[in-house]
Amino acid sequence: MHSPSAALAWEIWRRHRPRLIAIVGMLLGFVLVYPRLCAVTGFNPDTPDALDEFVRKFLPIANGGPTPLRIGQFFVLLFLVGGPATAMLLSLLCVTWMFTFIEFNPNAKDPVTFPARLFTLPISTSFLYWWLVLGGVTAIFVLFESWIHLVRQPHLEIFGEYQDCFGWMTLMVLAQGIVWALAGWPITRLLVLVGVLFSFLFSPTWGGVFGSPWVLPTLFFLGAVLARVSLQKMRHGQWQGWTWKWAIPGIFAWTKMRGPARFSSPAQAQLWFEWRRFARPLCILVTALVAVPVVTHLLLRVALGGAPLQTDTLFAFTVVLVVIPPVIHFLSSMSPDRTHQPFLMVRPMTDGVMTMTVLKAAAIGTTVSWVAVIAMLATMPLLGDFRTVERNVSVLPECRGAIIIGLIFGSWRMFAVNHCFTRSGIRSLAGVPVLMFLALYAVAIMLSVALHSDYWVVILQRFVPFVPGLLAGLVAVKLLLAYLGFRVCLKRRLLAPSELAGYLAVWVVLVAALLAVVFILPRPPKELILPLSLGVVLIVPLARIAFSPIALAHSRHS
Amino acid sequence: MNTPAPANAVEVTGLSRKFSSKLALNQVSLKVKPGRVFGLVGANGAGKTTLIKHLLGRLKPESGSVRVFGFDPVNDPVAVLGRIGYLSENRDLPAWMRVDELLRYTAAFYPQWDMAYAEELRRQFGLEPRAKIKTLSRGENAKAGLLIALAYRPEMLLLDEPSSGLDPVVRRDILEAIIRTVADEGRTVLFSSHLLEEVDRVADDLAMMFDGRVVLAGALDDVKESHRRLVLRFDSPQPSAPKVAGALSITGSGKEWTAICNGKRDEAVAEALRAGGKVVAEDSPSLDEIFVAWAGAKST
Amino acid sequence: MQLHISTGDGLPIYLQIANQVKYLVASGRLAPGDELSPIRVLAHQLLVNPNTVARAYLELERDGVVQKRHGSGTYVSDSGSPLARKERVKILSERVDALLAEARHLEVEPQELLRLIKERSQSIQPKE
Repeated sequence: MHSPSAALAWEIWRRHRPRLIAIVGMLLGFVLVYPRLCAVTGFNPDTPDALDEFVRKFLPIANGGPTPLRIGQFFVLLFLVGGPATAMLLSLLCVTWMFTFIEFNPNAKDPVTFPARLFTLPISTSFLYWWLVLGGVTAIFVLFESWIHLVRQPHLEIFGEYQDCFGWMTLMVLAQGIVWALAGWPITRLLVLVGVLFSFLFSPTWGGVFGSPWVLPTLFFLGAVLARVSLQKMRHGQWQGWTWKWAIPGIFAWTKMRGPARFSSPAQAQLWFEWRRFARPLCILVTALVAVPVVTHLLLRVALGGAPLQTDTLFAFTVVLVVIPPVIHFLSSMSPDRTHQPFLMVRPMTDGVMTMTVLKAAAIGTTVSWVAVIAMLATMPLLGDFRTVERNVSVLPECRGAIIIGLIFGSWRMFAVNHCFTRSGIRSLAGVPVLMFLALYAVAIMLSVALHSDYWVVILQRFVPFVPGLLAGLVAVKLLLAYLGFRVCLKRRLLAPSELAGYLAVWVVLVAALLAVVFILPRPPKELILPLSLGVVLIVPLARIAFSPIALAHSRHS
Repeated sequence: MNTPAPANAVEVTGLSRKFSSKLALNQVSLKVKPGRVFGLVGANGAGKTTLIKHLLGRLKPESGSVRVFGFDPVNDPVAVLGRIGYLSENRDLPAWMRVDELLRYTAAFYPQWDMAYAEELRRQFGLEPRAKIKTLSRGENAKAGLLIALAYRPEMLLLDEPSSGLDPVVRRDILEAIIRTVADEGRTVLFSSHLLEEVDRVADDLAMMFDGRVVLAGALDDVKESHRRLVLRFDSPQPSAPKVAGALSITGSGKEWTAICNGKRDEAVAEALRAGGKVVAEDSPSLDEIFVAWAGAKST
Repeated sequence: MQLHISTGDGLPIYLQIANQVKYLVASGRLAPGDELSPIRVLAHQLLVNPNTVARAYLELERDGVVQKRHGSGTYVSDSGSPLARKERVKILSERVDALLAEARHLEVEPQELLRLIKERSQSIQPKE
């Protein structure tokens, strides 16, 4: 490395190597594979409005009722319509994050920080600032132009608004300014960032405000100035010692739930610990992510007097709100090193207690965070014409309830099933959940591609009668693995018999509840009853729960 | 449990452990008698922390056995950990907890926790109950860790380099805690340190480790008495360290040299006489000098 | 009881304690019948192992400097001046040994040393 510039560039490359490769890979994938995929499935990306095309292709599929084939086809279509746009969005956001230059440091007071070691190097603040801002702006420009010109993007009316390179550059500069200004206040920073992000994402709806040519340049300038000032202040520690003098926490302090004066058992104490350690922050995060966009939107509507959201946007908004919790739960369940604290490992409690309390805390956290989501969904009618959206979605009201319950259960399930992989202390196992997710996605795509070819459809249809048998076999394997796992746990006294009985009771209740949801509410056709029930039994985690204490014991006594 | 009361608080037999290619522990055996202070000394990387991790069940023995109060830490973690009060040099208390929450949380795991005693210790250590652990200084952090290790009066206090990086005031608190523990009937202390003057003050028994091996073990007084420091004076200046068999190490220059020997005092004196020197002074070396002598002997 | 322990000394801690107590008794700062600090208290004060203090007290008891009374602590023995005198002489003779060794080292004859002592004693006296 011959110069500071090269060194900084190398650091970005080194730190974000997997992500950069993924972005370039995605870009190349869409350039090379996407047109062929469109040709295979008969989707024409050049239509004037891809959303119309989507609905046109979707209706014949939807008319037959949901079968696995059709659901697969639906996902493929969704991918074809929204894939390029989503990928572009994600890659631009990723590059923005890279150029805020923050790194993850779990031991520091603020886990996501700008590396202070840069300030001990002989480079001036100006140099650092200009490098990061210009570098970021250039990277955004290059990436944006590549996406727009190299990839055949379907024309989406909504998405047309995002095809503004300067808008993305403004977002980047604002992100830099906010992250550096609010270094040390992670929660405030998160809320402000989410607010800004969602304002940008939903800016097309306030056409009047953002259409004016002065808004973006002003924001860009403000962001740049803020970034410069914050970097300077961060370097010289001028933000430190600043406390948020807010009376409200004082009022809440004495009513705050502090926990019992004396815990009645180690399990209760550990439950409190897990709640405070990960479940409560998770709730707060999901609530913030869900509430901030809605509230910001409402406030801006009231302040600026904008029009209600269009149905497409409202639909997208709703979908986003509903998708956030499972995604956050998945990401949160992936972090492997949290429970490997020596502090916990030296406490006299069994691995079974540790596992069960994580699951319980996760259940509480999931339920509470979904309460917030449901509350926000209830305010959807205030934002626009929700009835039209409901009609367009053409899903029965009971089905909506079932979907929500399914999503709540699914969010909790992330923790339950990933626990045994991420807590085992074996590095190769920690990647298994991601691989499983990707494998599922790949299978869905392959299925849907296959379904468009008659040859494969015939072959697959021959397998349909075997599906219940296959599911039954999987259920048997699951029960066998669970039996083996629990037997080992009991023998090694990792799990108390009462805890095991408790979880089995919960399992039975969950299966029963899900069966009720699946069968009583939407009333599926007769031939689906057996596969669906077997599917429900397969979905509720049992075997992986059995292996969780064993995995934990393995990492505890390495 | 129907096991008879164990003779030793800790019994390690033939323990070996490898990390990749490095042999961290090499056939280590030692016994810690109950009611005494056991000092474990050794250079950085000698294997002290690895040994202590085996006692806590954090590591599984590759060969050999570990028994704490008769229980196996890997198969019986609750029985072992419920009897041990552990303080490590790594401050791994959860940063987001407050001091009072830490006390309430830890109290739930130990039935013999004494809330009044914990409060008294907290006041004595000057820890604010509502302070978050991430705002505590290093010394206060160590005191908090010591507090939760002492409050339930564990049968054995296990300290891994407790004084590292701490100011003298906190170090005194730790030493006082050690003395108080052992002064109460039947309670044991095992601590590892490379602050030898502390070990000298409070230890009853000693074990010295080098490169994963225990080179010296026994009562501290016996160890100190069996080592002698001889000041030798040679007739002619010696260009390099004279070879005196029986001496662990020999330092000095010119005509005067200091040799430290372990138990082979007469042999060393005879050798020195043969090499042309005579003994001008003789006394007991300090633990520091003994340690350095052994380190020197091990490296040659 | 103000005692001072130094660990790098080479002298075992229990002996340091015993010697210092003997010195205190000999110099009169600890009168016959005075109680010595309990073992636990002294251990806390000096930050040494209670067993070491116990061993020191055992040494002192063996030498007759102190006496243990049933359950109520350790007291300086009432024996009169002969023992105190014996202790004083013992302490001084250790110093004399050191002085003699040093003199031999510096090649000063014992006769010259005696003359030196008398000289110094006379020059110091007027000040008393």
